[in-house]
Amino acid sequence: MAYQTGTSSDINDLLDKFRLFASSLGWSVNRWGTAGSGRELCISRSGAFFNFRSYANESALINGSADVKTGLSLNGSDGYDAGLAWDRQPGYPQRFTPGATDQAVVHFPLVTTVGPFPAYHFFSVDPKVVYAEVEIATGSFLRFGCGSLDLFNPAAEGGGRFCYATCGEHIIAAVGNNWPSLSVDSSGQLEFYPFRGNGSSAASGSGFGSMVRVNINSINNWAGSGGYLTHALGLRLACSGGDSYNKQLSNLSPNPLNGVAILCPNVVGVYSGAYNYPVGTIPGMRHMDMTNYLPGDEFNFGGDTWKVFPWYQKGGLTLERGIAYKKVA
Amino acid sequence: MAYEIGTATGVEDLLAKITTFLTTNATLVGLNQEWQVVRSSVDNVASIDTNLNSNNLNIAHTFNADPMLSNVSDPTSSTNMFYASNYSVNLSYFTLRLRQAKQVRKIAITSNHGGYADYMPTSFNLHGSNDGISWTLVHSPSFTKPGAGNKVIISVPASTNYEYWRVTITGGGYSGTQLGWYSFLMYDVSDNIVNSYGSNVIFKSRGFAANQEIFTGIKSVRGSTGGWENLILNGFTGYDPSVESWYNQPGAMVGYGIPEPRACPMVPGWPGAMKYWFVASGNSFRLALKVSNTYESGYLGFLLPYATPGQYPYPLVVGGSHLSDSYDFLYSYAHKVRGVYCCPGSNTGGASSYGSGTLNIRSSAGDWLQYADADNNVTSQEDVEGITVADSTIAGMQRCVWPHSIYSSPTGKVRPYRDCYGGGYMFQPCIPIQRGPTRAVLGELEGTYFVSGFNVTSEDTSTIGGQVHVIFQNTYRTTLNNYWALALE
Repeated sequence: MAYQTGTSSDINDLLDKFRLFASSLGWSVNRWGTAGSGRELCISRSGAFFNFRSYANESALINGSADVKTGLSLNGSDGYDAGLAWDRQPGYPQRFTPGATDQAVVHFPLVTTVGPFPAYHFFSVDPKVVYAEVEIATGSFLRFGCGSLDLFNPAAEGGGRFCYATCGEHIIAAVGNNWPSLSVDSSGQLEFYPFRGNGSSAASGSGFGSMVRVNINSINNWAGSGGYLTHALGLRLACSGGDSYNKQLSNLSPNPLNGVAILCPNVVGVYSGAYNYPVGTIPGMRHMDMTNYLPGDEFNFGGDTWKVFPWYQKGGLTLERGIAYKKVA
Repeated sequence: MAYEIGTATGVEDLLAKITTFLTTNATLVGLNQEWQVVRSSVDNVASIDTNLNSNNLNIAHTFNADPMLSNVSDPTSSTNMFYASNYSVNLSYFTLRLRQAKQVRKIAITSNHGGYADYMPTSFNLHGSNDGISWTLVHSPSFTKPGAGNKVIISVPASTNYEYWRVTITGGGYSGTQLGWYSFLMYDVSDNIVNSYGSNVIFKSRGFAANQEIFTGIKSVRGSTGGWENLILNGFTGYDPSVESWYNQPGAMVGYGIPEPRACPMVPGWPGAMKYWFVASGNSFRLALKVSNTYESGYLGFLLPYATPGQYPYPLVVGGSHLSDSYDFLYSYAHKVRGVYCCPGSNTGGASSYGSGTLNIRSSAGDWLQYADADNNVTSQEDVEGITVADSTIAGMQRCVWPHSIYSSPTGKVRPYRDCYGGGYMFQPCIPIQRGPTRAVLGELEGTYFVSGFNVTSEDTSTIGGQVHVIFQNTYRTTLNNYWALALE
């Protein structure tokens, strides 16, 4: 099964359903159990390891900062060790300054609602990826996911393992640089679309919402999405993607000749000095203008079925920007 | 799809090789995608000898149905005309040595425009020769000045094929020493021009499935001095055999006298050896050309539009790497107007819609629109100007080509790509985009890709999906974001 939809009552129920979906695709569940107010989940498939922790009104450690929150954090690792904390598994993403809380995570925040969620949509165009698109409230969407990129060079070290959510810091509604108080293109805005990296260009430097596993410049670890090459609070490498390089294509759609929007691939690259190494593309995921589509609409292109959702709210905070998934029944 | 790599010497040889490739390549023929030549006028002037001085336009260019070097040149301006100020009756002459001996049966002389119409001759002696030493008088016509911009047509009695033709002016002119005309054309018995200085071809291609009619053209021009030999490119919506001018064929890029004229793009060359890469389908022709140490480009044919033929019926593209209304025609000219068709140059600045670019695409409304890319609107020689659009979400050049259009100085989130992590290169399609007056993403330039210039040199190759891609620099530019590639399809 590569597509599943349904409803969920809260973040723990959502993570449980995500676990079952991943398992159906051949992912191994290495850890699943109650932890505090939430659940811990560690899954793996073909050398790709990802780790999750849900919180329900509980103190959550997000990139060195603890606060009482509801939501979901996740990261990747190189292996699984039952004796280690969920977020400090072997090869965990390490922030710039080493220490007891140097583990990095990306975060799926539940600020305006804690559930129940009107709908979730799980996608997997290839068993190596698992995506969750969540309608957290009617008309409002957020997402998280993990897997391996389609690599430009299949021999690239790290295998293009990646994961993403919404942000890398604690979110407070309508305050300061936090959503939804700014325009979607403001530098402090949340990521919304994987590897867009807007959060990391904020002052905190820890706002990455996505990460990819690489070994570059003698740093054999994970790179976080954003504009900073290095930042004391962030990961030790920075990466790009989302619509950073091709927003012209999506923002100038739809085509006036026929109303068609361009399906733009999400090319993930890692910065090195003044340059950017292209790593690969996110399988079965595109961004597009959805002026002519409603949330959840499906359309056919080249024999494939695509299903589109707003980055957050259609016509609202995220304008007409959409994320489309290739739907494999 | 077909390709050919070779070497041409001078643009006449290059144009002949292009024509042969497009019309006879076995792969194109096998796919029923070969091109057709609907008209061809072949350069036939080996040399010119004259004692007339050439003010402004050189006399050589008047031996062509389109004497103006650019379609946007004002033919009524003296700065674009040929005229001599050392005219002396019975002594002034010009001699043409033809590449192929021809008989002349008709001469058409078109008068200059405006006040320069009175510079016309009223009589001349026409001699023929096959050795340039012994001359035979063929005709001595007399006629009246036809008036500004009009032509006089003179029938020439039958003679024989001569390699040399000499015209000695025996009357007319202005004020004793002034002589000039717009064009001076000699025809054979079949009404073909025998003294054409430069060639032109009009092609018809038929798309991928032989169900289209796509009209394009190439014209060769060369300087009598200065070392430049260039190809000028054009696109049409049809072919009218009754129109002698190559510039005035139906639907051609709009020239002088029409609102918002667009200068035809050029592919600069030189008289020496030039390595070329030809790639073609029934849909389009792509050209890369090495001239000295620069790499030039050309594109003729349809875009691969993001629309059906019914929605965008004639997405014609004409792209080069130089502009035909430029101050300097040399391949070595380093200027904002220079730029290969996927990183196009332009002479436009500010908000005006007037201007010309090295990439031109015919819109769905039938307008010729020019494209230009810029690096972060920084004003320097390396940057390209163009019409800008002020809009918080899409600010930038009005029409340009993604992804060359996105690169700014290497800061922020959009740092230039280098080679791929793990090795190899990423080849991105080249997509013309439009910010105004309406937003549009039009389609893709066939078989053309943008590639990082990190650790590459021109003519490097990379194989993607079993297909060889050849990498080139953007004209004279070798900075990181100025490399492109042709897929040898």
